[in-house]
Amino acid sequence: MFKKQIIRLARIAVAMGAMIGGPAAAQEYPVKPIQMIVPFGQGGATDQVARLMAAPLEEALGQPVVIINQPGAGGAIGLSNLTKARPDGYTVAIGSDSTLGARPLMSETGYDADSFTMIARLVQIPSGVAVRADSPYETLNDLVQALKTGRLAYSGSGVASGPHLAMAVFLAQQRVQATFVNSDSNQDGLVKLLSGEVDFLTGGGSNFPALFGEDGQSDIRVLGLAAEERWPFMPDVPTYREQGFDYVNSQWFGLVAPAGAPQEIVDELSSKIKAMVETPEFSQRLEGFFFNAAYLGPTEMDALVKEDMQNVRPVLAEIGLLKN
Amino acid sequence: MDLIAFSDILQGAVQVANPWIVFFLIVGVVIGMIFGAAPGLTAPAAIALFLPVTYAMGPTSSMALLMGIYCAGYFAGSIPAILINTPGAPSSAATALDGFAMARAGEGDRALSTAIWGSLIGGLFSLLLLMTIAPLLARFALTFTSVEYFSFALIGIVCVAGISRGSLTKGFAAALFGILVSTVGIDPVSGVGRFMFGEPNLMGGIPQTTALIGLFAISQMLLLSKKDTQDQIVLPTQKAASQLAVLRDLWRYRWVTFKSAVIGSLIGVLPGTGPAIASWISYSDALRAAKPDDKFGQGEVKGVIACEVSNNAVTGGAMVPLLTLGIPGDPVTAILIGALMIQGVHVGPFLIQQNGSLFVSILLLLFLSNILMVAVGLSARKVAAKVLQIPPGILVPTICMMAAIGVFSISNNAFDVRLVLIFGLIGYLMVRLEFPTAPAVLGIVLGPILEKNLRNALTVSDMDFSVFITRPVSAAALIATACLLYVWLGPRKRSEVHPQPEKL
Repeated sequence: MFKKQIIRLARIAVAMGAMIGGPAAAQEYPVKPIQMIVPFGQGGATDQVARLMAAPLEEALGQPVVIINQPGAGGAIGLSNLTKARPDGYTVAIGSDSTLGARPLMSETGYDADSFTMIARLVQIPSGVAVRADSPYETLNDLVQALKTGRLAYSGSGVASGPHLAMAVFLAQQRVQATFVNSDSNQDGLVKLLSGEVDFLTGGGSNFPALFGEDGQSDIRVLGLAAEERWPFMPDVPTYREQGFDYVNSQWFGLVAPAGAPQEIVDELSSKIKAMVETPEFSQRLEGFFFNAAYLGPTEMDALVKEDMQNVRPVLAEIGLLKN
Repeated sequence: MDLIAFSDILQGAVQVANPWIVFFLIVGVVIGMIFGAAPGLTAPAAIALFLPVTYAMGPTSSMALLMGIYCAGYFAGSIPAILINTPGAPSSAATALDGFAMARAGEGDRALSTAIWGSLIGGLFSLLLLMTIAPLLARFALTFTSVEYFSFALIGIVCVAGISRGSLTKGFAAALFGILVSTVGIDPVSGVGRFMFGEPNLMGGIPQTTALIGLFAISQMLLLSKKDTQDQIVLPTQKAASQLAVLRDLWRYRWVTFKSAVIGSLIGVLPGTGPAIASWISYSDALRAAKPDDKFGQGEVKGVIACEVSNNAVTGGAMVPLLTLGIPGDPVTAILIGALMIQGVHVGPFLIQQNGSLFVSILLLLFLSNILMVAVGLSARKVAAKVLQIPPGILVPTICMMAAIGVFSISNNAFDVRLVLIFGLIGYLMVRLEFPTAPAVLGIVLGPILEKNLRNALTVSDMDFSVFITRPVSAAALIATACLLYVWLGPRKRSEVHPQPEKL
C-alpha cells in the first residue's frame, strides 16, 4: 500500500519534471485521476456504458477514472461544462450524435462541434420506427404511403433528440410530413404510442427487444431499422434499405475532450479504448443493453459529426428549429 | 395471479429470506430515512447515488437496498416538514401546511406518528393493488393521453385557491411565479431556449428540488438567523402522542385515508407523475370534503393523513407500469429500470412472465420495507424531535450546508448551489411580504405538466380545444375542477374565510 503511494509520488515528480522539460509530458500521461463527465443521470444507458468502460480503462491507464453525472438538457449541460475544463486530457465526457453536432445548431449551448476534440466513438444503436401491433401499417412503405395522403403524428424521446432528428431527416428525404409530439423519454413516447395519441414512434433499436416475448408477441410492431444490415438483436426486422429506402442512421455515444487536447494524449486514449471496445467481454456486456460496440478513431468520429450536421441542418431549417 | 407458478413464489420467498437481503433492506430504510429527512436530499437522489453500488450486487439484494430507500425516503420528507416547516422533498410540501401547524401547537409527535402510520397504510394499499390487479391498472392508465394528463394537473393547480390563506391574489401570484420558474430552459415542445440569459447551465431548466429547497429550507434558515427574536417561531414542548390514539385517528378518518390511498396509487400508476402531484391532489380532495369545524392549514390532522397516505401509495402504484409494461410511473422507478438492466433483467411487458420469482421478491421486499419503515420511523422520531432543541446558531449552518450538498449532488454542478441561494432569497422575501410559498411549489411541480400536455394535446388535435370536453375522463376531471373552484370561491364561503391571515 505504502509502496504504491511512493511509486505514485515518484511518478508525479517525474511527470512534473517532464512538464517543465516540455512536450515529453504526454508520455507520462496519465499522472492523476481522469474525470469522465456523463451528461445523463445515474442508471441510464449512457451511465451504464460509462461505468462498464471505467474499470478496464482504469486498468489500462493505471489511474482511477472518476464518473461525474451532470444530467440536463438531453446531455448538453455536461458537454457545455466540459468545454470549460482544461484541455489536458484529464477531463473527458460522453457525447452523442445529437448533442455534439445538432444541439448547438438549435439553441445557445455555450459550445459548438469545434469546441471538442473527438477521441473515440464507442457504441451505436440503429434508429428504428415502430407502430402499434394493431396498426394497419405492416411495412415502412405502408407508412410512407399513408403519410403522402394524410397527416399522422409521431413521437420520440425529446424534441431534437437523436431519434427525432433521424425520423425528421428520413421524412424530409421522402418529401412527406408528420406532426411531431414531444415526449420526455422513449418510454414516455411508448405511452403515447400505446394510448393511441400518436401513430408511430421513432426510437433507437435498443428500446424495442425488451418489448417482445419469447414467441415474438408484443404490443408493437417494428417496421424497420435504419442499419446497414439486419440487426443481430432483432434479425426478423428488415432494414430500411431492404424495403427500398436508402437511409442509414444510428444513435451513438463517443468520448470527447475539450478542443485543444494534445494529440498524443488523444491518440493514447483512443488506442486504449479501441483495445477495450474490441474485447469480447465488452461486447458481451453491451448485449445486455442491446448496444453494438462500434469503435471509430478521432478523425473518423470528427468526420461523422460534421456529416451528421450537414444532413440535419436543412431539415432543422425546414421544421423551424434552426437557431437564428 | 395465474402468470406466476407456485415454484416462483417459493423461490422468491427463499431469496428474500436471507440475512444479507434483510440487512440490505435495513440499510436501505436507514439511508432512505436520512436522505428523505435531510433538506436537499431526496429519495430519487438517494437511489441515484446508491445505484452504482448495486452494480456489483445480485438482483435481489440490489432491489432490497433500493426498495428500502424508496419507501422510507418518500415518508421521511415529512419529518423536517412537520418539525421545522422545511419539507425534505417536494412531495412533503403539502404535509408542512398542517404538520407544522400541529407542531406549533405542541402536537408534532402526533403529526409524525400519523405520517408514519399513514405512510404504512398508503404503501400497503398500493402494494395490494400491485399484487392483484397490476396488469389491468396498467392497461387502464394507457388509455390516458395528454388531454387527460392536462385535466388532472388542472385539478391539482386549482388547489391554490384552497391553500391560499389570507390573500387569494397573493396565492395566485405565487403559483404563477412557480409556473414562470418552470418555463426556464429549453422548451420541451419547440426546442427553443426560454429565459436562459445566455447561461448554458439553465438549458435543463431549474431543477424542482433546487427551487423547493431554496424557497423552503434556505428561506426558513434566513428567518431563523434574523436577530430580532420576535418573528421567530418558538415551538412549545412537544407532547408525546399515544400510538393507539393515532391509529384511532386514522380509523376515524378512514374515508380520507382510503380516498388518499386510492388517489396516490392511481397517480403512481400514471407515467410521468409522482408523489408531489399525488399529495397535492389528495390534499385538495380532503379540503373539498372539509367539514365546517375542520381547521385545515391550522393543524388539521386530516391534512397530514391525506398527504402522507397518498405520497407513499405512489410507491406501489408506480411499480405497476414498471413491472407490467416497462414504463416508469415516477422519478424513482425511472432509475430502477437502470438498476434492473444492469442485473440483466429486461424491463418490459414480459418481466413478470420471465422473472416470476423476482417479481415475488420485489413484492415481499416492498412489504418488508414498509414494515421496517414504521419500526425505524417510530424510533427515529424521538431523535428527530431533538432537532428542535438545537440552537439556531448550529442548526442554520448545518441545514444550509446539507442543502448545498444535496443540491450539488443532484447533477454535480456548482451552478445549482448558486440557484438555491437565489431561491432562498426569493423565498425569504415571499415570507416577509406574506406571499404563501406552497402555491409556488405547486406551480413549479405542475407547471411543466400543464404546459407540455396542453400543447401536446393541441398539437395532436390541430388546435381543437373541444378534445378536452369530448373525452369523458378529461370532461369528468374538468367538472371536478369546476366543483372545487365553486367550493372554494363560491359566494357561501367568502364570508367565512379563515379570519386571521397565516404567516406562512
